[in-house]
Amino acid sequence: MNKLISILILTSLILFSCVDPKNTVEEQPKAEILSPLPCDTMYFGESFSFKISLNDNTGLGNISFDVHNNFGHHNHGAHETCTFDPVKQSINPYSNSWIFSLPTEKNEYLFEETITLPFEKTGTGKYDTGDYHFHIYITDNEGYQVFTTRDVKILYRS
Amino acid sequence: MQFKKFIVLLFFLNAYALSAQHLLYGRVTDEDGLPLPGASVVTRDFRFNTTTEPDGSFVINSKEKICQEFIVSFLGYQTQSIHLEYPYPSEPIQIVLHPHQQLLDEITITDDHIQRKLKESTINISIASNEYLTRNKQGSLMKSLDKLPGISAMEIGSGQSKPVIRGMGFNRVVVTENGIKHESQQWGADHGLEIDQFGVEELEILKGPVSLMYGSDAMAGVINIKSYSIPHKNSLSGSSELHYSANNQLMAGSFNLQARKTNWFSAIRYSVTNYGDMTVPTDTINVYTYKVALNDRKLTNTAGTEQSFQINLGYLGKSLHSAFYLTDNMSTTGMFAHAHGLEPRKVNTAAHFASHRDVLFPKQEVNHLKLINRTQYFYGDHSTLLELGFQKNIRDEYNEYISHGYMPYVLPEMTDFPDDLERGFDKYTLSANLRQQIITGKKNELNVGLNIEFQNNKIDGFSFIIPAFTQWLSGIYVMDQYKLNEQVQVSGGLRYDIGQINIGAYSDWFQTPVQSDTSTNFEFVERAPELIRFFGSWSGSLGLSYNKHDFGLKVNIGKSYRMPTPKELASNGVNYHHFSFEKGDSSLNPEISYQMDISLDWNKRFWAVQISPFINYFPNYIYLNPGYEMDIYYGAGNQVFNYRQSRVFRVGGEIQSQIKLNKYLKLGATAEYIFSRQLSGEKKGFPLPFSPPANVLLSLNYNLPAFKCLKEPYAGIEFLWSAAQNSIVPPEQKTPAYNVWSLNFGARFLINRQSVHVYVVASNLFNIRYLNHGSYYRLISLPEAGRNISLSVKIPFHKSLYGK
Repeated sequence: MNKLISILILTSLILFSCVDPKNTVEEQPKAEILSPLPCDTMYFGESFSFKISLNDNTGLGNISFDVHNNFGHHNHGAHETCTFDPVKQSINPYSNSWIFSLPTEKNEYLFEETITLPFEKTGTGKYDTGDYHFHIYITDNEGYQVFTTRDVKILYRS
Repeated sequence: MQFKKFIVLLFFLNAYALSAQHLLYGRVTDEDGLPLPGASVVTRDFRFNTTTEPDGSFVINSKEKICQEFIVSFLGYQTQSIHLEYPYPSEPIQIVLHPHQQLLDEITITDDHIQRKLKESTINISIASNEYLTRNKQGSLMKSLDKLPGISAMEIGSGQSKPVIRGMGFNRVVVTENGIKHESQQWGADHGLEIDQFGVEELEILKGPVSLMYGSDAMAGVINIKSYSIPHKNSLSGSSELHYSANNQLMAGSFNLQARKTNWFSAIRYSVTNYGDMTVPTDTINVYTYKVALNDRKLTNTAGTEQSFQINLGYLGKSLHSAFYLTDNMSTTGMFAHAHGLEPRKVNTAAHFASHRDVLFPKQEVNHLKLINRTQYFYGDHSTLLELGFQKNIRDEYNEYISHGYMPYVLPEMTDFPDDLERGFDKYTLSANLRQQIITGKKNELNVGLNIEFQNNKIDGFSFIIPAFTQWLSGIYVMDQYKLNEQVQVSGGLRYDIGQINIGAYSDWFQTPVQSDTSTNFEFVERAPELIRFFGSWSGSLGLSYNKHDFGLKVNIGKSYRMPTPKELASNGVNYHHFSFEKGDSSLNPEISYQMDISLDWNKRFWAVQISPFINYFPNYIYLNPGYEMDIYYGAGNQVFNYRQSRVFRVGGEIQSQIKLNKYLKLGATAEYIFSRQLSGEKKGFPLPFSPPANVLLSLNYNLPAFKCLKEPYAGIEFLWSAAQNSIVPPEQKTPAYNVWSLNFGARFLINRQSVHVYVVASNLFNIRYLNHGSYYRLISLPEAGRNISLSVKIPFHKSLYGK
């Protein structure tokens, strides 16, 4: 009986030693939005620079961001405290999304992209103005994802 | 030397002389020698049964020479089994039943035939009785069993949880109720068990690869639930139960009634549970980078209700037993709004904070209806068992319409689903099991069986994750148990399964702009193409059990298999709980697992130890791998998770030990540990997700002597220490170590010959804020429930209806 037990222990030890554990610090990517700034105002028909500083221990993956209205003052939790316009119903709201690849071998990267907001929607005309926000997701090459937001106002330049 | 034990129980009286050869006389009394009228005496196979007379005496008149176990039971007393060899003793046997007084800290074993089963089986089995569940009752069935080594509950809010055996859950654990595989939406993370925990009479947990008996999915183990007990002859019995939990203001009640004439028995049960929002020891929760404020430390919208109804009707004849079991379980559960939905755009914070008991959007409504018939026919030493089952499982997730990606901003009126139905899953299952048992001599037991199951799954709602499908499963098996001698028993078996999954095509109900070389076209994107897959696989096991004096050894080697689920083959949508876009792989192979389990048992007079290690290898574990790509068509830019297969190695086990310090005081310690590694694929070197951290549970129990009307009083204190889980795989985060204290006490009050059981459990005594690595909400760093005091009261009654 004792012999059997010692064989079993030995076998499991051998099996254990065959397995090499992943020797990395598992970490999520870090992101700092440089532009637009919190509560910035931007205008339909104009361009702005989307700038974000990225950092990860193993390398980056993708970045995606989208913009949608916040006329209902919906909340994602801890936000910048911008002054919101009164709550209103959307009629012709603007929304869009973008996806870009990031260099998977780089640990640090400054992502910069010029985004042009359309002046109006073909067929339905001018967009609703007021509170909008950006949703930003960043992945690293291991599959970790972080998520951040930015509140802005989008208006028509008078 | 099992027999010695029984001899002790047999006191011979010389009141009667034996007149006929096949007659067995006896008398059943309590410890004080008072007769127990209406006690039930049955043979283990239920073929011969009788009830004691007003003076406690009974006679069994058998036409055949039967030598086997007689089981003597009486409500409120420990069931006893007596093994008798033929010819019977010439004097009537005297049987003394002892009142229930059970161990608290581990599974209660009151029954000798259960003890024998546990010893002789080559598989690691634990059994929890109804009493154990009542004493340890928590908000949901699996949570009540959470303390057992190797078992954990994946909690979804406070009212639901799913079973996890050694870190594996979902479709890798099979749950059966009354013999039929429980088919609900196991693949879904937010799906509970949908079984009324008040109705569970006995629950059996098999750890290890048991595909041999249960077919596909039984990779990590099986939970067998028996939701009926056979009432004593000519009796009417029942109970009322009440349960209250302070943490989420849970109130539950259950009432049951069962009766038996000679051959016919019937039972009904109605249970209802209603609970408010769960209280957590924190004011804010970080959902990814968001901080969500909580009102009054209540986890918003986690209230719910559950109702369950059960009817049993059966016939117990000399050679035919047949019974119908009908259960209907309905529940409504709120989902924590910020954890469900990409962004709870329409979360009306004021409405959510207004009441802690209401259920608002998002919520799910589930209905599980089940009709089972179990028919067993005995002839000679053989028996044939036929189990038939019909199940209807309807699960609807409701939410206000939210457009994601290219979904229209406002829901058009012409859609063919309700406006607020986010996802609907309807599952209809037909099952049939046929088993032939052939016992040759006293040594060999052969079982040959056939299982067939057909499923039809429909989907509904404005949001898509898995397509509709139908599924056939069928398997044949042969299993043999052979007793080499009194100490050694070997068992083994082979099984072959075939299965077919037929997945229907699904296209979006809205149009998406698709870029081609020259232009942008608006298309109804096909999310899942039609797919037909056939699967076939061998499984088998070989085991040995050895019992000598106070030592026991079990060794079992098995191969198990699991057919990929339609979610793994064809999902193509956003999982709102995890901010992920899940993509199935239609070419996945059936998952195979090889596992060796060992169990070593020492059972001395003052101490007991059980060590149960396992080694496990998967050549193709199916794993949801988070990639770095993001999805385009669905718009919102979610991270893509792909189903992949990789080689996986696991090793681990549990240690249970107990020391009797004195007559009343018992010290217990259990520990569990699991190590896992992926040996290939994109996550090579990483462990598997949801790996439970090492933990130790220490308990001290004090069983006091009876005091006036207080019977079997007890008190216990428990200390759980869980190590940090630093072995993680994306998207998981490290979980820090924690320790939690809890208290429990209770007693049976005897007031005017009426028993009233009162049990109290105080968990997370110091209101510690901690995270559970195996929790469904771990990804959003949701802490576990804060301090909770729960109270259970059970009032049983029993009436004999013997003729005058």
